[in-house]
Amino acid sequence: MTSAAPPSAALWLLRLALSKDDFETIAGDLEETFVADVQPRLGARRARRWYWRQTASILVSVLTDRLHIARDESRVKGMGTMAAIWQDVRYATRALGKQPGFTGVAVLTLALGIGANVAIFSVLHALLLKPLPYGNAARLMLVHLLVPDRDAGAGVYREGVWSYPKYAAFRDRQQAFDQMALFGSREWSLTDTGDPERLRGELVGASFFSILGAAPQIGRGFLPEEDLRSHTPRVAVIGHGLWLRRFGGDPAVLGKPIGINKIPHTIVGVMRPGFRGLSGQADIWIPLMTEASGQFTNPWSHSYFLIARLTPEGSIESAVAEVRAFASAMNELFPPSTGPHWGVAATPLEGERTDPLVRRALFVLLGAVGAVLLIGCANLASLMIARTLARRREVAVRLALGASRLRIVRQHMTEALLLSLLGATGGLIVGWRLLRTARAMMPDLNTVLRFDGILGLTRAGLTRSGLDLIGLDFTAVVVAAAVAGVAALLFGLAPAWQAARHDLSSSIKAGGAGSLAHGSRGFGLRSVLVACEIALALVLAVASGLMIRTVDHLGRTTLGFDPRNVVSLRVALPSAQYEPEQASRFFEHLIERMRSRGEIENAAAGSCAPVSGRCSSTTVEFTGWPPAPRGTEPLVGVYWASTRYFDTLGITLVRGRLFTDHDRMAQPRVVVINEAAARVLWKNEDPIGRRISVGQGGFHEGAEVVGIVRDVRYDSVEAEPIPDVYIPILQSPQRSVLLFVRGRVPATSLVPLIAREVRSLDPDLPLIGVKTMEQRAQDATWRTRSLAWLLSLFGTLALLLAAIGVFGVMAQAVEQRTREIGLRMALGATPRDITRMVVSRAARVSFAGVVGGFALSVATTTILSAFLFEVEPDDPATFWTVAAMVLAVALLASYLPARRAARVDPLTTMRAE
Amino acid sequence: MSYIGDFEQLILLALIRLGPEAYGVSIRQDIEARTALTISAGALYTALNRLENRGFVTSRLGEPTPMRGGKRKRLYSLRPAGEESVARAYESLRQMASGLGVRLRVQKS
Repeated sequence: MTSAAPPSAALWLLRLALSKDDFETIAGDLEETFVADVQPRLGARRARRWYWRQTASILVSVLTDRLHIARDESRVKGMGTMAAIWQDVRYATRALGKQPGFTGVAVLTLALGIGANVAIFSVLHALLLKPLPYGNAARLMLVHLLVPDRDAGAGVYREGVWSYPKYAAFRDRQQAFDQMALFGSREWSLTDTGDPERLRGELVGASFFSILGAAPQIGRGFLPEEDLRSHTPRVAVIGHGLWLRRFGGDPAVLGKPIGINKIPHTIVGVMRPGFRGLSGQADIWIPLMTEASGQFTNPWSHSYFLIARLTPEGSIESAVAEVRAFASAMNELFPPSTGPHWGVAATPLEGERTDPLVRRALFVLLGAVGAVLLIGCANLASLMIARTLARRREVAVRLALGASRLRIVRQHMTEALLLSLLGATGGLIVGWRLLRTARAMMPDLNTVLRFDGILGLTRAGLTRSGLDLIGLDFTAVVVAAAVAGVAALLFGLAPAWQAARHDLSSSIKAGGAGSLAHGSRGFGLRSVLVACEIALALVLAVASGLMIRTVDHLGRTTLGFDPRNVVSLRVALPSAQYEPEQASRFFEHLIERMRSRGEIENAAAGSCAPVSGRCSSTTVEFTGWPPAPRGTEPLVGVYWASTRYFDTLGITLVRGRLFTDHDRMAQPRVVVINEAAARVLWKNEDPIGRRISVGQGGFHEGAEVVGIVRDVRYDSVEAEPIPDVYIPILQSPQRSVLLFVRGRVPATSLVPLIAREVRSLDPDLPLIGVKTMEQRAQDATWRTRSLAWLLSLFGTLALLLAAIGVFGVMAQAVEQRTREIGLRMALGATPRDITRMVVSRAARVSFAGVVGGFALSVATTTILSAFLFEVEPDDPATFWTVAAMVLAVALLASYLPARRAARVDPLTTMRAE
Repeated sequence: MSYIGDFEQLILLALIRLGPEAYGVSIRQDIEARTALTISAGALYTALNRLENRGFVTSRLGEPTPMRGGKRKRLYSLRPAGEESVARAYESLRQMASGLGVRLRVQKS
């Protein structure tokens, strides 16, 4: 058998740790055992691990000074640098081991501080910095249309998707990209195998996979001929998760049929684990050409995203310019019937990684944990200074014996570095745990990731892909080490310097630590540190105060509906089997069946759930009024509603009437509007009985306003309600509706019952997006609440650390000045005077900190304004309350040492000298 | 009588059995084979170091052998004080254990 040598790094460490003879004999013993016994028995890999364990046990023994293989101090001068450092490490280990309390507190402080930093950094790294999990991610660009946004004003564009003819025109005219693929996110029902399931998938151009550098695990991607409309066999590529879930990971799945919306497709490939397409949640991919043929000839049917890969020699700048230039050709080929011309733009995929608000929230949190760590470092520096003072006789003796000042500094720094190293190790563990907890607490991303604009899908998809990248990796280790190094400098350098500049003779001569001459040494520096801690803690406390007020305001906002015991879910009828009128009958029947159940109080169908993002908006016109100029018609949110929709959701009728079973196709068209619409569209007139034409749902011809209901916040909790119009679903049938069911029992227990009722009418229909309305209301504010929660957590931690800092400094000051206090009391000072003296000293330091923190807060809290709701970033109430609170905490922390000072017995202290 | 720890006793007993040519590897093998303990290098050399400092054992450097990458052995041998100490320890243990044989049987699984 081949025998490998012991790991050379381990040998190197042993050589460093042991004296020459000991190294030879011990390493010899280990090598003999390694070669003759362990390796044949355990194999090379585990034998190496064994050797490392032995090395570690020896190193621990040497470091804890149990194994006396001493090199005496006199030899230090003759030793190499490494050996001298080793000597310092041993000395530091011994010194720290003698003070387990100090060491424990220091390591814990650092571990928490570094851990929080590592965790937040890892999230930021995964979402913003790590390369996307696609080959050549840097060469990928999203190309999109720019649609004039009338809503926002002239000259403003929003991102828009492509129609096939426009894409074809672009494809034939461009040179910047060597590959392009349209894609779109879709939902399908998986029908034939097992339980019906709603699948998220992507319709993609044939080169989609090769553009993303994603090769299938087995089988193939799509072929160029599958991009042609003449190609008839239907094929699909499935995701790894679906493959395992539905087909048990069987490689023989290739060539098997899979039913998508009841149409069989042949499986031709299985993607690798983790690949979920650009939407970040696709389970299946189907060639674009599978979609209805009308899509490919109508230039105004916009529904596809476009991903493109730069040619190897192409640059992003030239591609952006070329794409922009295409706009004029496009407007010539497809002139818009109304309004200004459209534009085209390209953005690097990397740039669309995450929503600016998420990015900002991450930086705010990184700042917060950084501040916590700084405060922790200030505390440690303070502790180290106190330790240095206690050890100054020892240092003085060593200096007198000829140790250089540099060596003293180095030894102190070694202690600081060693603490940091331990802290960093602990920090990695803390960070790992934090990330695991955070992952478990993450809600459904679809509700958390609110992205404006049509690029929202890719942005959300990339964020999802980024979230999958979160984890502690080598970079996290490097960051932990770097943070630890900086921390060591921060809390180690000042005490080390102070230790070394001690005046020799006075330190040795002066008796003990309590001597008058040096009583308050180090107090000045430590007071500055404490003031800084208080300032930083105040900033964090103000930030969390603002966020808490925001959450409070969100909680008190009237949503306009009653979420209790209501569950919402989508049912989508396949167009192949249901004509719109059939769909209408289906849902009426389903709702009747559900309403007959005792557990269900009410049920209704709608198109859009409150607080879940606006669904659809359109323009309105008024009969009998001159039409508004094109492009300036008022915009309203438009919602479909069945009979009893308002009762089920608890939306109150203000005036007029609600929809009834008589508002059907053959009857006159009617609409219900919200209060905002009545106010904005009709000003002071009574809208009931007026006619309005709505640009959607077949209501162009106009309808009569029959009722006004309370405003409902459909978009988000924060956004003010806009004018809304409700259309009766019976007069504008829909195949895909959102069912709302109000139970007499808690909403979640209704789900199996609803599923049974739906299956009894059509066994192939999956329930999609089942969610209680209470959950939706919670999810709508999740990001704000979690930011508030985290900031409060860090704010509390910061305040606690600052309080400990104040306590530490004041306690030491009292201890050092015991004699002075005793003297004062002997001269007639009352305990009250003494207490006041100590507390007022703390008050001066704290007040300086609060003033500094106040200024710092004014300068920094504006970065929070994007997250605040009905609170200004300089909200005076928050500022003053928090400042008073921080001051109170600081004074409270100084009260304990002050009381001890007041209890000083003058006789004892005087006699002690 | 100065107290010696039980791990140290095991080492002293191994040294009696192994004679004057005992060294790290043979001591470790002897103890591990008889006691089903797993001994870490750090613990072994720390204990030997302490025994030597207390005058119970003595050590000398041996000759290099190729098996060990040309490194020399440190050979340990018992000194009278060590021999006496382990004998005492064993005697006290024997006295304390006499008559308890049945109850001290190790459960074989």
